[in-house]
Amino acid sequence: MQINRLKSGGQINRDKTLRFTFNGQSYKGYLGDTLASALLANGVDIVGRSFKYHRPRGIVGSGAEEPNAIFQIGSGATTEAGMRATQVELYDGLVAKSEKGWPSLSFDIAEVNDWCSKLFGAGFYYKTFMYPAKFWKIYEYFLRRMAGLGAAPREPDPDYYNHQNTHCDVLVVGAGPAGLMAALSAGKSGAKVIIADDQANFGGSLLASKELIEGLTADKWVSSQLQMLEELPNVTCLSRSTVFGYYDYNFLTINERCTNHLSEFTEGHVRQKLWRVRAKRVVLAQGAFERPLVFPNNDRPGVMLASAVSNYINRYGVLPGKNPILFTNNDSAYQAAIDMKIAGAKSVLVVDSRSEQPSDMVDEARNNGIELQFDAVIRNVIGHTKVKGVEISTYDSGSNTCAAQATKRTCDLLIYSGGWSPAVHLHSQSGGINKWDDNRHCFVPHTTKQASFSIGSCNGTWSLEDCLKEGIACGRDVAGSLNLKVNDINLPITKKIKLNPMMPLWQVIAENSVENLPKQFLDYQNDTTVSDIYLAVREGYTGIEHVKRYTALGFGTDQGKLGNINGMAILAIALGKPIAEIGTTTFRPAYTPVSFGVCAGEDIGEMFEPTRKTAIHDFHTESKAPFEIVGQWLRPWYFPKDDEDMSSAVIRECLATRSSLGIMDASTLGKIDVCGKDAVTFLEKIYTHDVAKMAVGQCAYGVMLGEDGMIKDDGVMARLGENHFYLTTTTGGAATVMSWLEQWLQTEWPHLTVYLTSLTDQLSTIALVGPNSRRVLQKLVDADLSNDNFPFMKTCKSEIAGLKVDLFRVSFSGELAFEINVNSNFALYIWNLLMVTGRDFEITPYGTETMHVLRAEKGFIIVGQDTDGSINPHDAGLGWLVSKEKDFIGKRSLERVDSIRSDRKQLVGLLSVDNKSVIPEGAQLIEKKSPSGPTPMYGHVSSSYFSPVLGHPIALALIESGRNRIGDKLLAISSDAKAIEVTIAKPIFYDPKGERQHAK
Amino acid sequence: MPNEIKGFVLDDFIKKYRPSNSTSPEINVSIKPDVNYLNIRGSVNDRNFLEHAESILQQALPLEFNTFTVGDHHIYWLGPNEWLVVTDFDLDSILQKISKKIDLYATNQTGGLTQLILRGNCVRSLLARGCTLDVSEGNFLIGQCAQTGLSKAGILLALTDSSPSFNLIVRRSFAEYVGLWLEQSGSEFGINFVQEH
Repeated sequence: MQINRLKSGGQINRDKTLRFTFNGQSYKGYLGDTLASALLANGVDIVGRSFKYHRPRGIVGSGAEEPNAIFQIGSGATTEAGMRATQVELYDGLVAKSEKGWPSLSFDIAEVNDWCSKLFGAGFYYKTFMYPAKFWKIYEYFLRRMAGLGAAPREPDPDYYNHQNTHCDVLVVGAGPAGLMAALSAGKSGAKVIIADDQANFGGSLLASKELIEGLTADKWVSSQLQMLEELPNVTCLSRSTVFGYYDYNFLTINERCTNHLSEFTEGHVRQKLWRVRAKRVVLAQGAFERPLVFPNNDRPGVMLASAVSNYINRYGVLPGKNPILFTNNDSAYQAAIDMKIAGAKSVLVVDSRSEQPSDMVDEARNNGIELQFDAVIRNVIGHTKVKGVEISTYDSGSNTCAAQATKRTCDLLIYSGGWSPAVHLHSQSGGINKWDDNRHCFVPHTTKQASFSIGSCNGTWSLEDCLKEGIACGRDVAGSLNLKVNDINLPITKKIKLNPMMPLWQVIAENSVENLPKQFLDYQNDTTVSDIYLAVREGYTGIEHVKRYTALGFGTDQGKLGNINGMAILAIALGKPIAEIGTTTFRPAYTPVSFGVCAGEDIGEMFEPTRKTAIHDFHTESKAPFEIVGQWLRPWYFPKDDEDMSSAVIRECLATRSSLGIMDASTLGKIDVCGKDAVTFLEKIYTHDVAKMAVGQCAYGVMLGEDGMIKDDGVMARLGENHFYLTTTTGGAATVMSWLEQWLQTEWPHLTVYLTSLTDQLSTIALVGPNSRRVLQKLVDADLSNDNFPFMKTCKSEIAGLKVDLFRVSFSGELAFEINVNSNFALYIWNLLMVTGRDFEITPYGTETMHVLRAEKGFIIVGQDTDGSINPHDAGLGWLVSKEKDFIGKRSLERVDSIRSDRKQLVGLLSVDNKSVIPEGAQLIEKKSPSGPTPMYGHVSSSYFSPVLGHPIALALIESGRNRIGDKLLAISSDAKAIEVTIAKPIFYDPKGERQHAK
Repeated sequence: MPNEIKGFVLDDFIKKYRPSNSTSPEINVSIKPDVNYLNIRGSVNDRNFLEHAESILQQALPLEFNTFTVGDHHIYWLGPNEWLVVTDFDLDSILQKISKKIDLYATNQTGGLTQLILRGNCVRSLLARGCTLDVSEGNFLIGQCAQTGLSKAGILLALTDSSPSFNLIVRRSFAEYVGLWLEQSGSEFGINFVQEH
């Protein structure tokens, strides 16, 4: 039964009944309801339990500020946690659960925390759960359960989300009176406008307003304005769209909820969209939040903001009580009392802390038969699971004291209003400064850092006429600043209302012993009370940022939309400072929580990042090779024959390559063409070796260092002409090296004429490796490949089957080997040709694993595996590559005392003493007999394999003073705590003289 | 050159591609694999370079930033010292004409790049889904080109006519990703791929 539903009124569709459940109980509501309005209509008082004290809580607000009605919506894969019921539109079949309260909301066993609350002051958790440290895992489990922060789904989200980039002249945030006028005024002047509002309908405060505009009711007037906006082709209207982030360069993000209001899951539709907006100007018109008043037990279910009450009555046809009392320090709240009375409340009492003065609102209240009590405050609330009554005392605003005697009065709803706080969140996010306004008693936007304008009540402008006026002026100014022809619009006619100024009332009972009073809540979501602020001050916290962290004030998902200003004011009182000196805390995105799904958008699954394939990929897939991802590239790992496992395949591939012929797709290497008259000068600075001494047609292995002298990347380079070079980089380092080189060229050495062009995609590289490689390649090319004509480390141009190729006699295996570069369009053709031609020599394709084994047998490093950014060329045994005669990047660092220390970690080989055990990569190396106390660790294993050609395991390691310790025995300890005895060896295990790669 | 030995980058994508049910797709993508790409480097301040480039290409290089010219070839401005020539002409005949005395450097990129042509009313909206550049009408004009990103891939984008028709040039190894991205994001509008021969 919708016991609180009015017979008529509201913007709901009473013909469309919707069914929903809350905590397993079935209820009914109407289309147009929010979950909160439907719960109130059904007379549900308790919607949650508080975070720390587990006190029962009811609905307080009607929008983004709601701190209590935070639910888990839906179930299974499409469930969402932390949803504010005030912003969840009702749909048929909606399933909602409160996130706290066990075993039930009306009886929560953890409410014992409330009875012992003297123990649970600010910092309780920090102080209590420190010891013993290892118990934290247990504490954490229970604390998290008790806190009740919702549950994430365990299944993948079946919904579809996407992103939209857009650029506009003006982004208007908020479609209340000010925002509507700004959008219309700028839009009619021809500006490209986007106007976004987080609610289902445009209108903001006007949706619940009874004011007449241009003789129309507020909602009809809003409809007419919206129609005008929608008719403008240059205006985009986004409802259900929260502008949640304001970043540098007027870049803002909007979360549009497209189908959340239809059902838990809508097949075939975008659920939410993330708009990434780059706006020339931003108009902030998000409105203001009504402020609660602070008095004992101000958190009982049935305590509600005045604006929320008006919203529930006028928008949803819900009367949240029959005998309400309204407690206020301002005139705007009177509207709620009037709305209650007109909607049928039996008796309405207004308790106003101010003295009576002439005011249109007061007159109207009195005319409606509302009882008024001035110079009075509420000093306590009676009732536990629901407001039953209040204690009213007289109040002297001059001395800020309330009388100790109180009269009790029953009621079923306590409406309160402590004035308004402009929603300065986005202004703050943009880098703008706020300042305290002593006349309006709120923080208002002060200076701006970006091209943004705050208007309407988020600028501290309260009256409807002023908001409309500000909107029109702002739209006109914005259009003018964009050099558009301004098209003026007229100020809509509204009724002028005479109001009394509000009187700040931060703390109803300003007694010294706040601890002896019942709790006075500031932040409902985190259970922060007035006494917590006083405790924080007593313990030495004075800055608002520190107090926030100590008391958790404003740390909830509502970011303190209700409690922050009151908290700052109380802190000011406790410190005896003006509020202006306290300042605000930092507001950060997101304004309201945003789902992970919409952040990820379409970049999920196989689209999470690009998958790059070589031009020879088809061969690898047909050969059923498993792939390894290296820098987004799919590289074949090994090529299994029949049912071979990896180790047998690798043994076969290694032996075939060492004994006859292997072939590998090396196309993923980064390849850079370098030309220009200063190419030599440039490369001399980049590489450590003597580039200038290289002859045309010569290849060289080179390393480049960072400015810290550490190895950054390596690869073979070739001199193709006097001023023309070809560089290769590691697969993963290709893009980084390219930008590193461009950075030096463009920022440090712009006087050099050098052009860098990537050839990574243009060229495919096929490595033909093994003693028979020359024999096979010679069959296909005209060039004379004999050792005399084409010795080790030479390059030449040739043709295969009429296709141009570059040949390099280089080797990453220590074998006689050739690398063939060819236009990628022909790479698969050439590869297949080589496979056919090599058949007589049992040509064996091999993958990255065999490549690793072959190179490790020769002690060749892999940058990033055998180096980690702290290894210089001397450490890696590459000192012979470092020229003493020229300057290069990193040279100075390489000459530091620390860089030439003899006890640095050095690259060495390792052999297991038992000749059988493959030492796990990453294993730490320690002495066989460890001294007592912490065990010194000398280094770690960087590469480790079983070497098929040698018949035993080999490893490379980085060990302190390693080169002086050849022959020493150490223990290798891996993460499974197994110890393997190892002997330090030279890092070249196979063909130490290099005869094979130089084969004649 | 016998065509059958060429392996084009999006062959596999087209092979696997299943046309959508949409009978009148809003966006048509044609993949034009068999064109040649030549990257030209040289200094915009070097008159000899500019004249030499014009003489070997029979078409002047565009000097206005982020524009392209259409003649025998499409020539795109990529940077103050870099251009991309997209052409049906045989590259060897062009490369042979390059004088060693001039600071003009050219690299063949035919195997490294591929081009997709996007046509249809919704192309701008589709591109805006993944491209941070403002490609809206009135901002991205005919004759303009830009190196930008499409979601996580770098692309060269150019507007060739008001239909609108965009040329999208992408590196070989990112082409399949771009194809999949267009297919996924374009499904909202209806998208169709064809390969031109």
